[in-house]
Amino acid sequence: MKNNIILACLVLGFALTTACESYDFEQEQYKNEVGLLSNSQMIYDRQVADLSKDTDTIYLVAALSGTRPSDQDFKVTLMRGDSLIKAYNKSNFDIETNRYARLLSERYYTIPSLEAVIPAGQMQVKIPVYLRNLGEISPDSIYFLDYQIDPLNTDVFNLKKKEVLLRIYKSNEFSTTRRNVYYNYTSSFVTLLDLNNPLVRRPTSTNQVFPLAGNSVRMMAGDENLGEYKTALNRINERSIVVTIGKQTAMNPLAREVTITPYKSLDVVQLTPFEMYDNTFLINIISTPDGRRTYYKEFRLHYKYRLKSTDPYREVKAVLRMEYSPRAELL
Amino acid sequence: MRQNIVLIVLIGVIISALGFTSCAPDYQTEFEVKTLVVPDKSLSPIVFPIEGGSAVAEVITNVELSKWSTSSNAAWLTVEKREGQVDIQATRNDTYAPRVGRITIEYGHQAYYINVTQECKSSFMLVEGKVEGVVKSVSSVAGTVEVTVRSNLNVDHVLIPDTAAFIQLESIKNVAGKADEKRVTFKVAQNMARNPRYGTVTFQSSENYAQMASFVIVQEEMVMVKIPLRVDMLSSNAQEPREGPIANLIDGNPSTFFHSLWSGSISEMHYFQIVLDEPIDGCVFWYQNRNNSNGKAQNVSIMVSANGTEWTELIRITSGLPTGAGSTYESAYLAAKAPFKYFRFVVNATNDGQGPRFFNMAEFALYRIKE
Repeated sequence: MKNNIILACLVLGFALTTACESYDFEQEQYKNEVGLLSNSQMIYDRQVADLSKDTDTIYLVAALSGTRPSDQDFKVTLMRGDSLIKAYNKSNFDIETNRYARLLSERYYTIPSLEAVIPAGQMQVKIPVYLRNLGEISPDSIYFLDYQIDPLNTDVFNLKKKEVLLRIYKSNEFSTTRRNVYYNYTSSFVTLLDLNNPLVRRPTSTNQVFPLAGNSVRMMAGDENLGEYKTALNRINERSIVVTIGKQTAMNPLAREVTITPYKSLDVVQLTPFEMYDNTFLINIISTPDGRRTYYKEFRLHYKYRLKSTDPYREVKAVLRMEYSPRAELL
Repeated sequence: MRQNIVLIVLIGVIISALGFTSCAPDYQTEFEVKTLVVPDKSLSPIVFPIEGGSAVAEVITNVELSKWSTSSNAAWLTVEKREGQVDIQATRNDTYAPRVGRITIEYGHQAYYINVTQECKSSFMLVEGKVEGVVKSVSSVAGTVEVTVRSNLNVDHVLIPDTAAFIQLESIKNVAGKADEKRVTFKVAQNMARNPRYGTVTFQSSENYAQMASFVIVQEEMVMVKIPLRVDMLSSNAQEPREGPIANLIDGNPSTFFHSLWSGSISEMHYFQIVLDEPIDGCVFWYQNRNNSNGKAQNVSIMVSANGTEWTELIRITSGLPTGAGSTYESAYLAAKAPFKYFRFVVNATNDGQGPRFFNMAEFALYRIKE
């Protein structure tokens, strides 16, 4: 009997001590693995370079997966890749090689170091990419940086997130390549300067504006039609103008002088200011009596152009207007 | 029983007291609302005279002076904040264009704006004493037009529309003793058309593009006069001896005719020639076909020469020439690069075939520009 009591106590004691042992939850948590931040198409396209700066910085982001932050450092080393851009071009454009996305030339960027460390307790590290001279690249082409994880010099990484296409967008105060930016014609005239056919048109359409450099944009001349964008290269080259925004006017600090030049082959002549078509870029603030204000960016242009040297000129008196929110731009 | 009533009343009083106290706020916080208001009367647009000046915008606020701000977007417009007001100063405007500025008074995300305008020095620009409406008429021949422009601005833009390419700026000259006066001369080209033409010339100044003056040049249409032709001026390399003497071309009778050689043949294209008394710079020719159906010129070279030996082709006409009996044709004005005295009407082909081949014609006339 006594032995039975001792045996029972031992069994009870063992049960009590083993019952206190904790469960290994580690096996049910996501592992810590390094991956390059991107969307489901392996593209990271959330950053836009500011053309108004001589050099702007965007980032390649190496992130650490896992349920919990790691208690150790993770070493990350990047190297150039090329498989993703090939896959991107093939899947998006197939045999239309003239539309292929391009790798950004080293002339336009510097990555000071391809090595980084995700410190213990943190979930990501940003590797800066310094962009410069982006005014020289076409706003119509798609540019990427293609980088991948160096498998020999990186700690545990996710094979599905080892490479990224970093999209290069650029923007200035007047437009961006990240989205289509349209200015609306208002109070505008396009007059054919031909005595025998003095045709006057009143465009009320929109004109897509593309950023070139920090202070310049490109747009179609007059009411020329851009048409389908993917087949518009020749039309762009033959019918586009460049509007370069200069210094403030002496009369109105909200207005800046502009210079109108051809983009490629167009014959365009800037005319002298005439009434409201005074060759300025104006921040036009229209206030209502109840105190509300509407903000517009406006190109007020006066120029003439012709597509062929034998054609009569078309005189353009245009107000191109886009509503915007000053506060939203500060975000 | 009495004790129960007292107890119930006591309990009731206690419950009421608890009820009232439970409605009291849990805590008391002293909120001080910071506001900044610029009254409507201070938000009215401000207009400064040329000399500049000062103005005050009232600011009603309980915000510390250091915590609200005011600014101007124009260098000529300065602002200074004080307790309860903003002092606004404008410098003198020595330009010829009005200028605008904007004053901002803000606290946090709350902002008030005051629009400011400053008047400018007055300017004028007159062509022959008028801003617009002056008309200068000129004849159809090439020449010059001169106008007097008066302005206290620097007239540095002369605008000639593309539709008036016949007008060219020749010179802008100052007028001695008159600082604000200029003589502007334009070249006007020969009007080759049968209609008058117009061009509006506009003067502008970069000191104030809004100040413009214009005038209109009206050029008369080209007027042609018939050149009197005599028989001794006419000749042909292919006169038909049996009929159609060349004198018939200018006899004013459409039933008579000139006929080139059909009874023989020559290797040259048939032509007739006119030797003028005086050289001319250009001409219009007119002819009437003979009242029959053959020998109608269809391909013609108009050759001209100053000396009768060196010839140039003024025009070659290969279409539009009439074939009908008795039909007429009038050319456009044919301008020569150099004056000519000799005129040849060379027929390269007729409605009967390729030349050399005979042709015939009832009447012929030549016109020159009236001077």
